[in-house]
Amino acid sequence: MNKSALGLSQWERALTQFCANRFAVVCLIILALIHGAAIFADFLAPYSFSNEDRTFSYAPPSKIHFIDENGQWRAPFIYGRKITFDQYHKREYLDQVEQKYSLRFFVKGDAYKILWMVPCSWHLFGVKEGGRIYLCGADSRGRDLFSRLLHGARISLSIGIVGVLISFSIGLLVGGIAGYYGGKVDDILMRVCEMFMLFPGFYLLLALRAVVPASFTSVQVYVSIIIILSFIGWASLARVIRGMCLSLKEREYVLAAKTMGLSDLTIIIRHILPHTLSYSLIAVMLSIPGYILAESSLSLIGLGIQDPYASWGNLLSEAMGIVKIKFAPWILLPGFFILVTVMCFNIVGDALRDALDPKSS
Amino acid sequence: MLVELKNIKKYFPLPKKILAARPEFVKAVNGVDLIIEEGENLGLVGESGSGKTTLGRIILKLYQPDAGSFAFDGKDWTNLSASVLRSLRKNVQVVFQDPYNSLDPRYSVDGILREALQAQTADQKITKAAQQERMIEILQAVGLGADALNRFPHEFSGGERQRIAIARSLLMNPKLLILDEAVSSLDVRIAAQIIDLLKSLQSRYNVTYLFITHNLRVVRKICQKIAVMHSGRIVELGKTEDIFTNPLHLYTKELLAAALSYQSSKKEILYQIAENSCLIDKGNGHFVIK
Ligand SMILES: Nc1ncnc2c1ncn2[C@@H]1O[C@H](COP(=O)(O)OP(=O)(O)OP(=O)(O)O)[C@@H](O)[C@H]1O
Ligand SMILES: [Mg+2]
Repeated sequence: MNKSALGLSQWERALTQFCANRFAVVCLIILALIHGAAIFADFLAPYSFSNEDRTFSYAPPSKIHFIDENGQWRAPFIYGRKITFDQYHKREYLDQVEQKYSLRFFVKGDAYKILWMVPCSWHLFGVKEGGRIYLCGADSRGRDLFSRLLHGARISLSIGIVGVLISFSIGLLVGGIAGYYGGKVDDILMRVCEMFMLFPGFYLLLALRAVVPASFTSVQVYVSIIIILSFIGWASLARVIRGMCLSLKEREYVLAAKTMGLSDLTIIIRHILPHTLSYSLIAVMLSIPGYILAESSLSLIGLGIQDPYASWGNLLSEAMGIVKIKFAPWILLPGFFILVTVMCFNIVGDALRDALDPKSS
Repeated sequence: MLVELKNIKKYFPLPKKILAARPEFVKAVNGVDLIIEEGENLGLVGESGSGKTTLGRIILKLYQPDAGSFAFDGKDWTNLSASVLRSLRKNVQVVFQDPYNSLDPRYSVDGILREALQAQTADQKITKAAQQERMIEILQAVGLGADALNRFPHEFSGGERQRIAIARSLLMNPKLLILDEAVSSLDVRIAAQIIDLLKSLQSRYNVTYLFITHNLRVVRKICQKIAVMHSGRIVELGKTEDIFTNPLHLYTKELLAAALSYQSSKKEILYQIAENSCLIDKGNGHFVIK
């Protein structure tokens, strides 16, 4: 058939419209950066997620200096720190002027595998053995929060994306079958969907989580959380897709295409699917935040990703307690990342909706 | 005979009531006999819900009738296998009422027309240049310029969209073109232009029109015959002039009065049509239901 991708210029048009929305473009760039950082977390982070030094419990963020104590410019460096206790036995970190660790780039550090395959131990930056650099401060066990944030992004973001893709495939399949065949099949499938939608999501989440054996390894927990989230999420998507198929197959241009003698497959590919595609894309964009938040809440209450593995949710669980927030406010950073990511997904999703709906302009 | 319908019925099930013993039906088309001769445009008129669209869709083979037989161009079309049906479909084309919905908004006019052209010439090789030429030719025939090709449906007015839909259906070289309320959503002047356009295209494309509408006025100019439909039955059928000058059925008179005076009748008349009533010949090809 016609390969010139007749719909292409429609997408080009959508692209220009999307780009006209500067705010959304900025959000998209932020998302791209966060995802890029998550993919290359091992390299970008100076330490692995479990590298700890308990003497640096709740160490505040290291200050990077360019001018030394004599007022002379030099390459960026950090001071070594000495720990003292104040009268209330609170740790205080004092810069040691005589100990200087210069910031180095492309240094060897904790071993990892590039994209889970090639072994490697290069990191973007780091300091000489003996010093520790904490860009965003340290957690209770002296682990670098910056490194853990990057590693946590991997888990939190991948749970969102993989979860939404799985539940969307189920939703598309079930909704498509129900909408296309109608009748009894439709009735049964939709009642099943409603059963899922009846339960408050979070309770269902907890109930399903309770079924997962405690003996599961971290990877198994990770996979089971994805499965649980997809299991809960597909029903609403299925209902929408089903509704769309029901009405799309009655559209007059679909009927006209039918009278032209086009095959069902051609009609579905050219006149039905493209119309769910933009919805799907928007729905995917707008439902990813839900998955990220669900994982975070699960991890926050200790039922999700387990220490020492990091996800934004379980990093944030450290921030439960006003005293910790008072003395180590940087442990709230994971919450900031969740907020920014969720917001960006929503803004990009909304802008996508505006761009993909030709009538909205 | 282009189209021959015999005792065609189409019932739609109503949503089942909880205590109802058996499902109820809407008798959308309830026993229609109709003949359309080649080159003889037929106007199918009737109020909303009288089953005109349903009848049109039966002829388009979008609905399978529950009873009766349907022949097209001398061939029985009542039951066709899917593959045979697909190859025959281009003979009957349709232009719908809603110009906003009849063109896929995702495709440019170029894409819309090319799809039709490719469906029509599926078995022949045809060069890009020849395709382009035919698309421009048909666009000019319906009164649009070649520059329309790169534009999208939502950039056109309702009347222009209807012209594109007509162009698309004529590209298929149909024998019968069904216009289901094709001008009803357009204002009077634009509607008249479209009617004139259809008239001028008829001989050139050798096509017969089945003009479905609830407004008698618009069919007078273009149809040689008129069939009046009411609750799934044809209540009167005759030459256009006979229907206008000498309507026999009360319902036709009512429709005429409404069409000519723009006045809605105050009184609600219930037209009882017995199940077993049939059309009787009043001479000169004029039939009325008894
Ligand atoms: N797909 C369908 N399912 C169920 N009922 C239908 C369906 N199509 C039509 N009907 C019913 O059949 C009857 C006839 O409908 P139809 O659309 O043929 O009327 P119409 O004469 O075209 O009316 P209008 O002038 O409003 O277009 C109506 O009562 C309608 O509700
Ligand atoms: Mg209708």
